[in-house]
Amino acid sequence: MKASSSSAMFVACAALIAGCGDRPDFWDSGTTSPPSAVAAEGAVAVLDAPARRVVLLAPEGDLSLAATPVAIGKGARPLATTPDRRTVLALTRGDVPRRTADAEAPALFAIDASDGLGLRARYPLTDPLSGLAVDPQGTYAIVHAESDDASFVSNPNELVVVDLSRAPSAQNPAPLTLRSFGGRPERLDFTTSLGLPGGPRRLLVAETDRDVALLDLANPTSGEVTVRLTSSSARLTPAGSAITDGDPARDDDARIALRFSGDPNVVIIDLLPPTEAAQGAFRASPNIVGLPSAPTDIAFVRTDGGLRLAAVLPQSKSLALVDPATGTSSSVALGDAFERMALVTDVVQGTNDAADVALLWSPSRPLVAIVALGKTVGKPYKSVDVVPLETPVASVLAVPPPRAHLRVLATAGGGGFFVLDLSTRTASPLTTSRPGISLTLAPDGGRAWVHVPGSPDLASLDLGVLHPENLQLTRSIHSTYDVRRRDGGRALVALHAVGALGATVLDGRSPSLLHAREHAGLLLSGAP
Amino acid sequence: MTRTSFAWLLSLLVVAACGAGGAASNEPTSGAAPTPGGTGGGAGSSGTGADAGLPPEKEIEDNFVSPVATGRFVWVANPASGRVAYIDATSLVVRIVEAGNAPTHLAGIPGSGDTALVLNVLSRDATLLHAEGGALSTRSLAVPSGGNGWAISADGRYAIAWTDAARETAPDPLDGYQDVTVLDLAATGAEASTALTVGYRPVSVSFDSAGTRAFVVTQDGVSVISLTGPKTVTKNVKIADGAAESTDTRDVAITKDGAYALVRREKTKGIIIVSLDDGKKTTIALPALATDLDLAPDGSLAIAVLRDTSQVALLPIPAVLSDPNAVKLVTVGTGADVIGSAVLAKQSPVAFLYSSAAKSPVLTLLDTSAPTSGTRAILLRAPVAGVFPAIGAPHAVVLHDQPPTDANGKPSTQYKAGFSLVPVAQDLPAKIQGLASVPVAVANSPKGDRAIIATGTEKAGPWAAYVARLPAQQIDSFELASPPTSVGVVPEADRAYVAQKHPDGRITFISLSTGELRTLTGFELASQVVYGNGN
Repeated sequence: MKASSSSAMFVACAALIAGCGDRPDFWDSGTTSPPSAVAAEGAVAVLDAPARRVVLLAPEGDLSLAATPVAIGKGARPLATTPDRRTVLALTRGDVPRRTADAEAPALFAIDASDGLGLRARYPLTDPLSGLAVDPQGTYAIVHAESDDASFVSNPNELVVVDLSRAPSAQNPAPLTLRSFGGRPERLDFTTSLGLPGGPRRLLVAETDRDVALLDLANPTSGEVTVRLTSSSARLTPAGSAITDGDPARDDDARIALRFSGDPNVVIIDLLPPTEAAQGAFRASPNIVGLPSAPTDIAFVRTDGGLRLAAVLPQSKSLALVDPATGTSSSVALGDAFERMALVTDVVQGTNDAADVALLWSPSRPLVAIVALGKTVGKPYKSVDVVPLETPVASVLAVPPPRAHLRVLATAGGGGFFVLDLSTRTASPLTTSRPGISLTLAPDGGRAWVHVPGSPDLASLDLGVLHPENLQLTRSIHSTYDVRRRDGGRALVALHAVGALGATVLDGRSPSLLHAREHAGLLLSGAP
Repeated sequence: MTRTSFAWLLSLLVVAACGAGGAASNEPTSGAAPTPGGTGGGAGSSGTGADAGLPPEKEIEDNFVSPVATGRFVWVANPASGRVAYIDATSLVVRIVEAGNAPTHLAGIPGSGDTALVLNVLSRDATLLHAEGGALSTRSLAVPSGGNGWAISADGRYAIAWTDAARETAPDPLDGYQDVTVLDLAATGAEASTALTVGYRPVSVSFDSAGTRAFVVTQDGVSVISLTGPKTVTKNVKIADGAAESTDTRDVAITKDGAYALVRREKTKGIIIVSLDDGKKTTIALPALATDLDLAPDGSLAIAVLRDTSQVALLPIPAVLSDPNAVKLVTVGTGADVIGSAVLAKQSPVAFLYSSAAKSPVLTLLDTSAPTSGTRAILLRAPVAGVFPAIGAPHAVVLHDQPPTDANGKPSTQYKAGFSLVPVAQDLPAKIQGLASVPVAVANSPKGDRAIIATGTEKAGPWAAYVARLPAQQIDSFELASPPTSVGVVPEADRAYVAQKHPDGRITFISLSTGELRTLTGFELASQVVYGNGN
């Protein structure tokens, strides 16, 4: 293991500057510990909020780290990335309150963290909002109010739509206030491209405790469609949504389904052709579907009988398949109380082309099930394969290609995990000597990294042969990131929340302590 | 169009839109279930135990609500919210309009486009709703009498709110329900609403074809209401011979011109024709007790069924009054076939004869315009419970409320009921469809090319809708998410609908051409979608 010499040089420079009278505020700003960091495609992005910057740590082929500081504004919120990890997003609140003309305004900074490292765009904002929702496709970001945005008077229905694919302009970002029946946004979802009358569109689905707003993301200021979700005074707790485009050849059968915590009713909103000009591009027609008990997850699925809304009903240990056209439902007996569901059709050989396959699990029951929604005589499904486990599953991580047939099942206590092979329907247990593990999957699908925050223990699991390689670093690990090296290889960057931030960098594909490099004083990089 | 429902919808009453429905004078006012031994009688059941061992005939056809045309809208009242939803059956757009307190009983107004009238039972008024060009106008009219149903004149000018005791739960004998309100929808001011008193316990309300008089059949006789000038009860024509004579099971039909009331009595071998002008009674003698009496929709013919002799008596109106020999007696089949009830189709001379009391699987067709040409007996595969002919009678839907039995008399275990599609225009075999639950509503499309049957009750599912394509006799079935309450066809939208029982309101529309389904649940939510720029 080698120590970074560049760090020592920075320390020396710092001492020199410190002895030269006036010094930049940088040296008095301190650092944030533990650090806020995210894994980008070609770097680890670390928020250095006191210094109003993001430091991009790009691994080189020799496992050194090239630090690129990118200046941002004051009052930065935790960093985010686009799902492709090519862009790091930093939301800053600026000076609050703004007492002078030159006081800093809030902004959203889009930082290129892929090929060229640096600031790509600064999107000025009008209000210091703290919430940031990022489009799963990476095209849009929504800046919104959060409950801790304390102002004398605030409007919780204010949103700012930022089109990250376009440069800042008078129309981008687009601030707006959602119409409301009295609620405030509690969930934001982005639809995929939906075939709607007048052409495909992507919508923002903003759910409150009593209504939902549908907003055309490409034209956010054109006005939203607001759909009331309940006629009663009882408040709803939005808990999940499901979206379908329906038949790709049609533009009148897209649907959005919404579920609510503890509520047996699901609302399905049909997006239909407008009947009058005032309705704009489409008409929303809500329908209430009553289920026997409150669903804990929903998804639109394809069955032999056509499109259905699948709803997981742990209370009745079943999966309800609701025909969105009629509201009728059939039930798939699961035999146990599952709570969560994910479609795995693409990686599992289904019963036929028309039917989906779903993976179900529960954080309270030690088993998973694979449900094939094809149809056999007398049953609305083809099969329910239950895979027993030793411990319940807290979350399911999808392994990227080329090993998309694998799922890593994180257990509820964090005392181990399972690697589920969907093609063979086997679940291999991996045990750890201590609980509270944190799992990181390599974007190339090759490995899973396991560590316990606050411990120097690290392990790499080859997802091809499920061989673990235990590595003990010299310092406690705060977080780990598997990122692309500049030479095309992979690196594992383990951050250590010590001093001005340290890191250990290992070869991602051939991790070895022999070749690992340790770095210190990373947040001193690029000091003025 | 024929649209029917067994159940009177207490909280949701759907009135269908239909362009070809014609007169609406018998709109949902006759939809209550019969009350055995009750005091209503006329609308629900009729007939006598003419021969030993057979119970009275039951005509379930008369228990179905006959929704009324309003063009392209389906109207749904929500008594709890005080609103009425109106659904454009073409676009399926739902809109809401405020009505009075507890809007409950709806009726369509013929001849006025998309116009409906809703009775607000708590505020004792009515709201007249008219949709046109995307706008809705409303008008409030006082209804001091209250009521649980409407009778609407064929021209849509008059509406009478009245109370059918058969629809009331355990009415006290002192509840006479003698108050009615006549609304003149063409009038303004005080003339628009007139409260009147009629006889004890009305059982039906009708109008003459001229629109000058209304007739309320009660247990005291027929109360005649003048609609010209001030609305008043001009007379009460007694139809009983004495004050002590029971009138509970009296079968009374009023001729279209309002000149006569035809009365079937339980213990008299004949039909009594009462002049509503002077009260004069003429008895048409028949060889046996009549178990059913029906008046043709055009009023030109009355038909009495004589179960004991397997005969049908055809009474041409008004010729039979001046010439009792004008009665034609037709023996059905070989004389051994049991018939006890008759159903007459609109715009057709065909009479459908059957016996629900004998649980006979035989349906007999009689061309009343050529009664000597013989009858056509059709063996269906289960007992006939009711017959619903399409307009012009190209076919009929026959309901079987119980399963067929095998040679040993053992009932089917697979099915609880069924229906048959019976070709009438062509001498082809009937097609039977087994049902896992009992049928609750039937509708024929005005063109006669589709029939819709809904099955399943709140207590006994499964709930389903069947759409029959005719004359091909193809049947498509659709599962329903909740108990059906009524069905209908909206020709302008090329859709059928199945209204269902649901706390938020539910209706399923079925495209008659493609079979595509669309269910709307939660009418009030659907009407509260807000569009446009909120900034």
